Amino acid sequence: MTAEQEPLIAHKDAARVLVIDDEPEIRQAVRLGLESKGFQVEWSPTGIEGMDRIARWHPDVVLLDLSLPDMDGIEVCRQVRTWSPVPIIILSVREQDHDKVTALESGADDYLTKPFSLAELSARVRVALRHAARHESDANSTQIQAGEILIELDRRRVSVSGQEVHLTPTEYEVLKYLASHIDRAITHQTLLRAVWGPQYADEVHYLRVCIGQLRRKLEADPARPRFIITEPGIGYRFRGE
Amino acid sequence: MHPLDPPISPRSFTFDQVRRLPGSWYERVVQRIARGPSVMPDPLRHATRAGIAVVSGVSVVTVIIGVVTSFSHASSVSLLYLLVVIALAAIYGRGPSIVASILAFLAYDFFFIPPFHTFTVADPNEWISLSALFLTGVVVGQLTSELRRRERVAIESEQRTVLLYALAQDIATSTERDDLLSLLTERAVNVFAPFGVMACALLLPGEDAHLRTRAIAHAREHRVAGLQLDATEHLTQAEIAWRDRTVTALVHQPGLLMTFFVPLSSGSHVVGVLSLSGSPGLASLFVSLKWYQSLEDDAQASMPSPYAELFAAFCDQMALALERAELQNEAIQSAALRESDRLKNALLGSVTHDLRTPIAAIQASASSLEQPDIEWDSADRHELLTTITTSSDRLARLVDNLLALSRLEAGVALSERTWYPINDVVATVLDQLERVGILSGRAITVEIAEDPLEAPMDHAGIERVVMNLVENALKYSPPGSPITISAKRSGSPETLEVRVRDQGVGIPPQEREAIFDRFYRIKQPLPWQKGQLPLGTGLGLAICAGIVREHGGQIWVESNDGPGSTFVFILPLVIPSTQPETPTTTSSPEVHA
Repeated sequence: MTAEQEPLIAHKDAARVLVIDDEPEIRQAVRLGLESKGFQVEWSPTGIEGMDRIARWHPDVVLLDLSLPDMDGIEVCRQVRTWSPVPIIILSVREQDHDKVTALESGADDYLTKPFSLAELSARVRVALRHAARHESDANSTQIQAGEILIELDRRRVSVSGQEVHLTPTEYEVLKYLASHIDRAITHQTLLRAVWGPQYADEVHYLRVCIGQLRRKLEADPARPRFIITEPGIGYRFRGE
Repeated sequence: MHPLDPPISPRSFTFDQVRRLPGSWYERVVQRIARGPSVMPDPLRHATRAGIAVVSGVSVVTVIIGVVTSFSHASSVSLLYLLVVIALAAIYGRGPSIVASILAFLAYDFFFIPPFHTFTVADPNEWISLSALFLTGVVVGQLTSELRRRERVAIESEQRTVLLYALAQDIATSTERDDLLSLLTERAVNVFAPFGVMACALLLPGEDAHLRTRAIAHAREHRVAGLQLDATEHLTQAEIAWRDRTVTALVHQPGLLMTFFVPLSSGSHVVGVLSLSGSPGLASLFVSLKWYQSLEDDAQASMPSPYAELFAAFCDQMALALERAELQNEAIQSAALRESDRLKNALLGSVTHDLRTPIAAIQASASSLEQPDIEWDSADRHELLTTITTSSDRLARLVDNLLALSRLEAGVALSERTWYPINDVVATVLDQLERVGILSGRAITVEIAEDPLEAPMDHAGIERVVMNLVENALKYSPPGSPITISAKRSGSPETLEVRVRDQGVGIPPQEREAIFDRFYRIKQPLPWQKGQLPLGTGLGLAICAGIVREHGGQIWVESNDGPGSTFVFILPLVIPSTQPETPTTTSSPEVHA
């Protein structure tokens, strides 16, 4: 398929999603689903062609499968990151913890585990677009709200249903990082590096204790958290929607 | 014992004598044999003793006759010589008895036949009585020594029978194969040591159809230096014996030490080779073997030993025992294969059904929606679509379980284990179940005291375990009844203990072990499902058990005080990896802004 073959689109300004995946069944389902949600969808079956399309078509979001026929999805991620900030969501099967972490550390923004539902897919795409928009507009919002939790960044104040909650500095920084990347998966290593420092990238236990304390202070049922979600084997996600 | 010493003959023993001793048959025989070898007397001493006996015997009787004839004229008093002849025949055999007869003849002639004190006989009638005496003596002596010989033969025959009986008893009662092999070699050495056996080995074919030394035994008194029973030359000779079905031999020290290789066959099938090391005289044991062929000059097989038949029978017994052990082995293996086939068929049957059912549901619903000539109203359409989504979820979970099972089978059940909090495992599982809609209307309580409560685990595996346990709890308890998941440290050495408790039908005590078997399913219909049998392949708990055990943990079910059951599994906490330290909250490291 040659580049620049613009498909028929309903809305010219609809966000563009590029799917880099070689499986026809996935492609079909994803295309129909996303198009029904108002996205423009293009696809590339190989990594090389995918990177080419990113350069020429300028998608707003890229869905990248980790297992491509010609090159490693993680390598695609790394290379694209050197010249484009486009949000990348990786698609992978359940058992590949290690690959997902590497992809997220190599520049991917989020991940989806197959099999996934259209609802999950479009939610992830929307989140990615939202974060990209925020980056571009450079607007630093002063408040983040998720359910009953309100984080006032300018006053460094966190409250649940109006009641202020006291957090230690570390807890606040972790919460702030997660909330600033709301609805996105953040790896343990990224959080540790951001809050504790690069030499602490492997001290997962520190992070777990901190998250445990946050859940106790902020969640209605700490054992079944609604907002501070564990991404098994990967990291955490602050769920806003 | 030097290889050149003459063989020691075993002490005589009979069934009666042996039966009265304590112990198993074989032990009694060995006791009797070991009670002190009776050494063959030195021929010179034997002859001297016989000679003295002859002379003194005849002299004593002559004196007695002399005394008697001094006051009586009975001529048949000469018959007293017969007593001596008979006694000598019984004790010393034919030779001395003939000599005694001759001496008696001469003595009687000399002392009691006129003219006295000469060897001439005056009266021709006296010749007849003398000849009669002599002849009678010789004949009676012959008969007696013949009787004695037959008695000895009979006793020896009885001994061989006792020995064979003891050996057969021994072999018949041994069950373990390796025990059997060392048993056979020890018996061979013990029984045939008097014939010069110093060591023996048993060689059996291995997987590659080559012989391997499987058991070795040495005679009690000593080990022969330099004799290596599993050396290559031994194996080579043994293979020749095995292949050609003949007795072969190796010479270690000419005239002193040889090793013979005897093939053991049962029917037409050679089961192994017995190697006997010892003096060349051993060859006399082999003459009765049906495939015996004359050996090289080094082996002096000229005189068949009376124990040759015993040895042949012993070899037959050994071959039979070995064959029986082989057959037993094959029977066990084929029983295992049958069981494995049965499981595979059950799996196939179960999987086929459980895969096809949701697929059929999806196909039926989807094709109905596809019908161009039907306008579905939104309620119907919604129902068909719901069928499709729930069936796909079921399929997805079944496939996950099957994958877990095949990984357990392949021995790659676990990915790398890392310290991971059970809190996150439980939260992830409940999250997933909620998303699929199974949790609606169910009250699930989670009680985990510490957060994080970590243990070394493959988190995906333990997620599967908790998932299966919770799904079971949901399935086997009535809608609306609560389910509790709890976790804590317990035990010493410390473990992580996780409990999933339901208030459902419960599990009868006799089934509490069997439920962790594959394909085991509760057969009673659930009271709240009106006679339907619960769905499921019976794999869930088997997978839980497999994964937990791979972690070095345990899993079991307890009955509650009230209705329902509690499934418990424990994971070890003490694995030699870095134990995470709990950081103090006050001195947290420099925080990046």
